[in-house]
Amino acid sequence: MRPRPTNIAALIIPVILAAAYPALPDYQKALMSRVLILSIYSYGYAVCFQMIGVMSLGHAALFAAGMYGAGFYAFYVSPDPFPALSVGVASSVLLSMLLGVLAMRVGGHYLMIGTLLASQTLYLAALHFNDITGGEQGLVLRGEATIVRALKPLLSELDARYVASLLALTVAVVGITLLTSSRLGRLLLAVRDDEEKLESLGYNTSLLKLLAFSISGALSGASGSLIALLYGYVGAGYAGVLNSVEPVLWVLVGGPYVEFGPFLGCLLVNLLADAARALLRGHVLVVGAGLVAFALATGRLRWAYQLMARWRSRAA
Amino acid sequence: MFPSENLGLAVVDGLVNGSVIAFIALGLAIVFGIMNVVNLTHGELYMFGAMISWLLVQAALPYASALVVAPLLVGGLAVVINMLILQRFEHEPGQTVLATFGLLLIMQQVGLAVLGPAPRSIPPPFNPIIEFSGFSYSGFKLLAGMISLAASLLVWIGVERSRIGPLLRAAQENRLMAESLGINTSRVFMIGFVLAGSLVGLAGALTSPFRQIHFLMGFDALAMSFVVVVLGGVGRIGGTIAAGVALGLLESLAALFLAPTVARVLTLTLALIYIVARRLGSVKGVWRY
Repeated sequence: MRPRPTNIAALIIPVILAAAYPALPDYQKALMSRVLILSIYSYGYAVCFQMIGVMSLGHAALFAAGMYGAGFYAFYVSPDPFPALSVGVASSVLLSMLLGVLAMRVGGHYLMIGTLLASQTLYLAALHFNDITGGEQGLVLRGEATIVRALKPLLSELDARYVASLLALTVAVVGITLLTSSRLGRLLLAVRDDEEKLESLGYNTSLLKLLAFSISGALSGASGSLIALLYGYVGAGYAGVLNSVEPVLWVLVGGPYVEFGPFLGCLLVNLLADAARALLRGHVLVVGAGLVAFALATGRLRWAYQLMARWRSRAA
Repeated sequence: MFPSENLGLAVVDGLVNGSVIAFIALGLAIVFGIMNVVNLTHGELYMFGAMISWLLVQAALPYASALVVAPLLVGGLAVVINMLILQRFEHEPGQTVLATFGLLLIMQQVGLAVLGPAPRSIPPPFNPIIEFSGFSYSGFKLLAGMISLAASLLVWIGVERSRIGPLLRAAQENRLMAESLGINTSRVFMIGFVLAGSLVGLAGALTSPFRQIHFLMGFDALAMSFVVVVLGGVGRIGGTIAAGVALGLLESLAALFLAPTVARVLTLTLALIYIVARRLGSVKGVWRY
């Protein structure tokens, strides 16, 4: 199938990020590494929201599953970052399949509230079993468990984080562009656009949605695992509800192009939040005010509302 | 296994907690259940009710004043939220979720700024210890539970028997039709918000002497309210009350055997599966692909 022009545009992102790196001051390098990892989460959310039109409010659970999966492996089993990464991704895929079996069958408000409750349940569980998870304080991984240490002979800590996260983001972007131009990608978009028609053509749309949710889980989990393995820390804060809502904002800010919107949105929101840190917990306020502003600025968000309207009419 | 007085205590405490859950959820049963507005600030409105009570008591005013001031202020706040934001896009669900979530985060920060990060508490204005056979119970908490249940039942009867219930339903189901029949739908929505806001504000004030007043207390209230409203059947206030009491009792009994957080996780999981199964018609349907 012919690549879409947006695919080519998306592939420029990693190139620009690599080229810009030497020019960035140290603080921005550190900030950008974090943004790059979180953009993978943003792409993961976009697969769910933009491709199949399902608005989940519980993605933090998938992110945290990856983070804890990788973190537990590195902390309790063996301080080896690369098997830990695969364990992290596997555990979030597993959770997304489990959650998806339930969530993808219901629609509308039920799905939003159901996913919200499911992730809150896991958050409470993470807090409760704090002798294992470390609760809110979290666990600090040993140095050799991190990817940073694995790259130590070649790169400084700062460079290692940036290079590793850029590499991971590149894989994610290439993966997304391949997905959107593939047959499966078109099918997923068809689920979003007219599920009934697709069903009448003999496709199992529930299965397609479950598949998309699992892909979304894999990306979210990869992002969570990378946070654990690059920063050497896992904590229940990442399982909290704010982490479920932030990707909604990123994706909305980023716009309708699934190939590069999630990255742009994540970048913009995080830069803005960074600038607002001077305020009292400014980050939370920026997200809050951003959500209200976006809800009021309907015109700019017509694409998102059309998407949700389609999905609601199906769910009704 | 366990002494029978523990069972008695669990039942009484479960009934009291359940009544309180039902009372907190009542406002959401009106706004979300009947009016179909996904108002995620509900829990924060509850937190504001408790916070206002704390501020009043800090200012050396009697606790009873909170029972008047908190519903007024929180009801007013609900109206302002509705007027300034939610009405602009006619309570369109997608936008409402986003906007009320944003407001939730902002209100939480207001709570943090006012209350500080540590939990606060108010001493109960009076607290006789009630002796049951084998165990004793806080008199204030028992009274608050009874008031919650009585008020919930009153609101249920009031909404269903008066014109308010049908008006709210009409405005939600077909706004244009209701308008053309001469109903001022934005005023009807306003009434719904005043009612819901003042009820949850009152719930915040009523429960503040025996609950920790914390800036994050709203989320738990919101989650439980949604569970109860959906469990009880969306749009049925009586169902919400029944589900609230049942859930409180279930959690309290589960806490006899399990740690409280595990009991909560278990209750939420059961509720989740029940909700999905109900949507699909059967539990078996959930697993069929």
